[in-house]
Amino acid sequence: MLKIEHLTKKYKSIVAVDDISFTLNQGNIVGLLGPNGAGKSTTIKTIVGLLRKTNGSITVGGYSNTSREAKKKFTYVPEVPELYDMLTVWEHLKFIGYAYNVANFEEKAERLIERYDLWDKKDKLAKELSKGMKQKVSICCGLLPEPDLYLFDEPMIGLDPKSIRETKLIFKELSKQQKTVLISTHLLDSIENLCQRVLVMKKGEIIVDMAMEEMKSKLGNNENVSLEELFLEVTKDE
Amino acid sequence: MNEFKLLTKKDGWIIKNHFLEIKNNPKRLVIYLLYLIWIGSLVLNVMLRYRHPEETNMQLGPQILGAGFVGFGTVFILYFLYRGTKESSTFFNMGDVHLLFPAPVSPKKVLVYSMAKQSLLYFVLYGIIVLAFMPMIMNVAVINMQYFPFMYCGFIGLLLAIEPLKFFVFALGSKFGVREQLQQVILALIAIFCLYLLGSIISAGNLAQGLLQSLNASYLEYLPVIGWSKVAFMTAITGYSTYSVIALVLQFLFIVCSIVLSYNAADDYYEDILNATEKRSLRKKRKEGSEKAQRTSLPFSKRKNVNVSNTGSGPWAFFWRSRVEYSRSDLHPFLGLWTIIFLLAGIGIGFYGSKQTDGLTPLYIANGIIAYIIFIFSAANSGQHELTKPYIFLIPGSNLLKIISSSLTDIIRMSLNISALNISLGILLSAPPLAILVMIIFVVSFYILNLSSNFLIRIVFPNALDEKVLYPLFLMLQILLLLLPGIIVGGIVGFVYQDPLLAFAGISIVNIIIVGALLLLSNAVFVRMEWK
Repeated sequence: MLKIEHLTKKYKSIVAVDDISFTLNQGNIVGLLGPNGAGKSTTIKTIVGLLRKTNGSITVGGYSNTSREAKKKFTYVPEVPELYDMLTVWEHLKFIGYAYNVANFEEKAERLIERYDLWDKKDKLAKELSKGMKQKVSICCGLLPEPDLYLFDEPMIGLDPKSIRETKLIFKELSKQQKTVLISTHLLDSIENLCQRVLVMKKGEIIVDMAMEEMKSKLGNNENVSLEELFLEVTKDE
Repeated sequence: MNEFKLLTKKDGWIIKNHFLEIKNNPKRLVIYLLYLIWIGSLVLNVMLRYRHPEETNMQLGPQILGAGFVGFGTVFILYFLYRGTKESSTFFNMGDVHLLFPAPVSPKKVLVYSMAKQSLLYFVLYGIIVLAFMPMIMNVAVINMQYFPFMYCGFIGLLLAIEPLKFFVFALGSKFGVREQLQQVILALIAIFCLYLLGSIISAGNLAQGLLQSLNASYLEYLPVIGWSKVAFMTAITGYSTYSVIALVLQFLFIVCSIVLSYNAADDYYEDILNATEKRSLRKKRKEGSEKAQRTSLPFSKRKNVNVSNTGSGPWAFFWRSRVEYSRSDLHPFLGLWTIIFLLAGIGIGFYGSKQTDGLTPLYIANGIIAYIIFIFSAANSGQHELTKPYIFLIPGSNLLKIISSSLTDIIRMSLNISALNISLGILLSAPPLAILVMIIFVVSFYILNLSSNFLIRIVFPNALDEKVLYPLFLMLQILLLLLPGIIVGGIVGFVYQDPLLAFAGISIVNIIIVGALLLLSNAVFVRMEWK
């Protein structure tokens, strides 16, 4: 579904992403982990097409990531929810419905805003919403088109416990529907039991790309080893 | 859905929501009404002035206007073209970046729609600038109102060309990696322009005559953008010719062409506009008071490592913080670019003033203008921004000290800047030391009054009115009210003793008394304040 080959992203002389390659197959739920400044957000923004790649190739479903065909196949939930200040919650979903040509989008949008307790905020302008509420709207916008690939950059930040639980449930449902999900997050426990595979980035490079089970077995096959401990182990400075 | 239809629909919702917001919150109308009154007063001024053409000082008026248009227009265009080699224009907001850009919508169509929308908006909005300049123009030239549309379109045509051109230059630079070459071309154009002016001044043997002749040269009227828009602009003043229509059409064709060229150059522009869009969003937040304005006195040299000695504990941390910020962004914590500007202004005004008059009038006028500018810009100053951060509420210590500490660097800087102006000006005008001292105290007391009154407005209008819309207005109203006692006392003293210096001294003394009272009230004011 997503194929990245030798992706490099430079900002002038600074190498933010350094020759990374990975493939996400259909139905993969993958965690993209790494310390601050590791290059996770840059990688996701480059996949989305907000940033221009310096080298390498990115294809989504066989199409170049910036093509319209590719964009029909993925959605993106950014780290900081930036919405249109003067559109209501419902108008945001309508806009996404029209932009992605979502069939029966009203029915789907209603279901989503109910799940995220946004029904009473349906007619509120985005500028009147709290940061957490904006994040919920942003997630709903990302989920509404029901694409094949979902790109989440820190989706849980600012969410209340109920919404975090709901988002986790949605990830599980997406997994069952054989959708592909790439989640970048620091809240490791929130994806611990969701991801089948983790990519760990550090200083622009992928230092770990393996299945969760494989990773656990490498670290002593201890049932009690948490993702947090695994992360700290692989990212610790030599 | 068709992409243009989608974008139009989105903007339609936004316009509808603006109207709904006014309907649900009619007090917003107050600010729009004030704008309307302001525009109305401009129009009225133009109409009154139009009825009295005999008051027009026609000597050289049209030539000055033409030269001014070409001179400022060229500087404007070259400056923005050069900026275009470093940063793109943006026609977008962060909502577009996160919702529209990742969507399966053609980036080219998004761009052309946004450019056309902005051009249409600016076509109307920039009209206010034309209206604002009209009384001044009518003072030096007779306008034939029949050709006012030419004047309007000529002026706006020049402004509308800037953003698409800037975008095109950046797109060219990043697409073909020729940013440095473009910079060199623009610098060469700047050099040619300067050499042209210099040559004309030397051959005319007179600065003013050289500038007027060179900038009004008939061959410049055939220059794209500057020349064409000048011809259209001057039609209402110098008269209509067939070339007026041709120039206007050419100007608008040029704008359409630059939009089309940008459309063709922009395959992959999302990254190019990110930085400018983020900055624009930050500027908007700052305007709303939710972000603190950065001190950017010296944007070209921001030092990373600064060493500022301890200024004391508790509330004095604010004093330390502001010194660190100024050390990083300016020449010195207390002295900066503005000190040099004030010093140069003092020397310039003093030099010119000493030749024109024997009295202290230039000293009074210069300080009066500065006080007026402080009043005009009272809606946005650092004290107000400090209240948008939680620290002033959290750091333990006396509230009085917090207010003093958070404003102290600004007060010291202003005192030094005003001293630089007044001492240089006073020496050149041979003013007595007492007069210089009174003028320094006058402006500084005005400035401190402005700073300290910020704290009061939060209590007077805590939630009752929409602060985002009305805050600046009430802040100005409040300062006006606080100023009235000083102006009344100063006016009476000045009238009785027929001495302007005593009037300024009277205002300063009353200002100081009010500032003292406000500071003493600070404890009571502070406990009622909320961090929003």
